[in-house]
Amino acid sequence: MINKQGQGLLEAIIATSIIVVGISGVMSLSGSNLVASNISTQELLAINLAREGVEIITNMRDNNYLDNSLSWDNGLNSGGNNDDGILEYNDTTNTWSVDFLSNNTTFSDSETIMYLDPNTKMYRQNSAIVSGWEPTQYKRLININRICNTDVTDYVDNQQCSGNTVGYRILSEVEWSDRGNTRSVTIEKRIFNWR
Amino acid sequence: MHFFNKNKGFTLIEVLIASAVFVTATALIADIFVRTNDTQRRTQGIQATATDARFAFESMAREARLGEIDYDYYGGTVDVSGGETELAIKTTENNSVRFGLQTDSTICPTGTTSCLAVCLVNTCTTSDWNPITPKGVNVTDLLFYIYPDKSPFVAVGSGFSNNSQPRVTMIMTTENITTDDVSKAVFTMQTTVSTRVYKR
Repeated sequence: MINKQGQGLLEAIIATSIIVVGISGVMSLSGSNLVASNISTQELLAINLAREGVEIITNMRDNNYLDNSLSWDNGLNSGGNNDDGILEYNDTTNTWSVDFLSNNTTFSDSETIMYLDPNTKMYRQNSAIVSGWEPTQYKRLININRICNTDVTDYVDNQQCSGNTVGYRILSEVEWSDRGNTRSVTIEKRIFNWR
Repeated sequence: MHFFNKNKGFTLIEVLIASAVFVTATALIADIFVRTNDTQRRTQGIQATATDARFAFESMAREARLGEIDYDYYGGTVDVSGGETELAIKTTENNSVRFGLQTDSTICPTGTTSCLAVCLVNTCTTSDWNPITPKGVNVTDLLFYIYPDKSPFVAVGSGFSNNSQPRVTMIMTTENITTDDVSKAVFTMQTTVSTRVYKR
């Protein structure tokens, strides 16, 4: 049977829209695939930088153990209520230390930005930026709270421990922005007077 | 006059319009194909560099965390400020594990100019090194910042040379081997691990 009327407008529109949906589906799929693998790469670096944060705190505690003149938590508490800080590396002594910033510091504080040092090729942060360091999209913030033997709550702000400090809760958070979206990874570790 | 006349075959206008539509559609589809293909290749490049970097990096981080720094390999003193190009680990079973960047074509996989290699003997010769990173990926940078410079567990006189638990900061850059810029991916990662061997 031969259709003598030819194609209707409706049929043409439907046929075209099916083709358009099919092609745009494939295109957006490969596009989002690229975006997702970019994010996974950024996440991989961010996780490693966050892990560096808790490892350095653990290392500071272990150093205190080896030095009998220091208490086990030397350098881990700010003395005040501040619990947010960045990790600074000293090129002369090759040691790390926590630089406590003002209380409730957020990533909007420019001191949390991580820089790439072209001399050592290291990602690092400092309250005093050395010229030549290149800013990266990553920011790192360390949050240290006390675990208290008298408190029923999980952990408390630094000076609010009325009894003995039995440990510290370490949060290492790395934040970065990708195409206008803010992403972050957080690693939590609890350290005690025991190893 | 009918536009489509059954008895006369195609007119010139019909053929022109039909081929114009065909050419436009073909060009569009070819463009979409090329773009999608480029995107896929770029994704593949990123995935290859990141996956291989992750595996190699985790192997080093695990050994460094569970073992201790083999200070004898560095002649007793580590270059703390300039960094070391090789990481020498002594495992808890007293086995030697060394990681290093190698450029020797007899060590690295074919097609690569540099690779991360591991050696499991105390003093390594060319035949002792085995590549960890696979074909298709070059390791362009590898640096270890080890601290302290001397082992804190070896007695010096009545005390010890330092009171610092050994730690390693490692930095590695990988890139995939490709001739076109589209699928080129370079990836640098960094982490620090503190050794978990406590001897004092």
